[in-house]
Amino acid sequence: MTHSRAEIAALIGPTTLLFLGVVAAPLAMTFLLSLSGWSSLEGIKPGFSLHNYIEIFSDSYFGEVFLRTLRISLWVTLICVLIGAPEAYILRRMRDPWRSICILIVIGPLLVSVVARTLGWALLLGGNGLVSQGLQALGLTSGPFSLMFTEAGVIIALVHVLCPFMVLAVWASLSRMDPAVERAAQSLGAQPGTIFRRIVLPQAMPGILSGSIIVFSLAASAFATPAIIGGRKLKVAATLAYDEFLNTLNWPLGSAVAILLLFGIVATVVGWNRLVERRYAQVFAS
Amino acid sequence: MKNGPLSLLFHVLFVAFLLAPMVLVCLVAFTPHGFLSLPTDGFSLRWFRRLSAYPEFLRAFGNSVLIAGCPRPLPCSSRCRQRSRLPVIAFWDVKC
Repeated sequence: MTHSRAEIAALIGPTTLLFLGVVAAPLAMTFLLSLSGWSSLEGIKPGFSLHNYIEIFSDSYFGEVFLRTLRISLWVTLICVLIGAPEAYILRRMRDPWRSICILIVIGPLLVSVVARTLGWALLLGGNGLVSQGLQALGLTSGPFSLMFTEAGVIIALVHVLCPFMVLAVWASLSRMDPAVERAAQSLGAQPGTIFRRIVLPQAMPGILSGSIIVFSLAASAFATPAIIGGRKLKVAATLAYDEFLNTLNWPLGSAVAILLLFGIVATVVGWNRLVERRYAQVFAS
Repeated sequence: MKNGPLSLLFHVLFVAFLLAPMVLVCLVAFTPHGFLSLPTDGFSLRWFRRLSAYPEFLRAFGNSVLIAGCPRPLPCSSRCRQRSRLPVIAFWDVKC
């Protein structure tokens, strides 16, 4: 179906204008702000220079925070792939009344505010929370064991918040798979594990790729969950930018942190995209 | 192909993991005490009564309903005839 240029312009025009006004313009302004100077006496000074970026690259504190952000995001993405992809496959194999109910349960957390969910995790992970009581009952720890204000706690809470996205992405990719191929493999004598590993998984790779991109981006830029579970001492890039903006009031430095976070996420996502598309070229070409 | 018992167990654990915090928050809302605790002593509507008399919350709740009820601009045109078979998520209200 061919469209004239006017039709194409009319179709994508509104979205492009919205994107330019609401996303591109603030980003450009943030970038310009990150090049400005600042002092606690004068506020934001006019003129452009790179000293904010130089300060970030030369101070090991910022490097530690960015490394922690990357570490947390990679762990969250890995765990979401490991538990989200099988879950999507299991959902797909369910019969009808159960399948709709379970899809609703998986999407349900997305309808609840992330703050309410994270507070639930604050209750679970605390010193006398259920996780601690369970570990003590199993005899794995001697006293109350709190995962609050630790990286592991942040990772667990972020996995909880983000794995519905992974399930949805893999679900979308699996719904295009021909079920006859699985049955053919079964009739040729393959075990269920082999079927999953050699037939389903390669065909689910586009979904795993898009799901991992979504999960990584959201985990790297996450704010509410690391702020509540991580507390004041465990900073990630988003909470660091928040600190610079609202506590130190050094807006140029906060903008530089935000721009660097954006570049880091884009670079990782583009690189990961290229890698997976090259490795699984056959699935993507179809 | 059906789900075997191992798959079903994995699924039950996954769903429990997803629902645990929200179930906990709902339970704690009924606590009769003045601090965060599970309602082991008995359910009480004390905090709901307190909330209904809290004007800031009522105003904030009204604001949320107003914002959620506003129509969102969808980037599609009436001339778009091709339908994708992938699920299209139009309202994306993620705060992370």
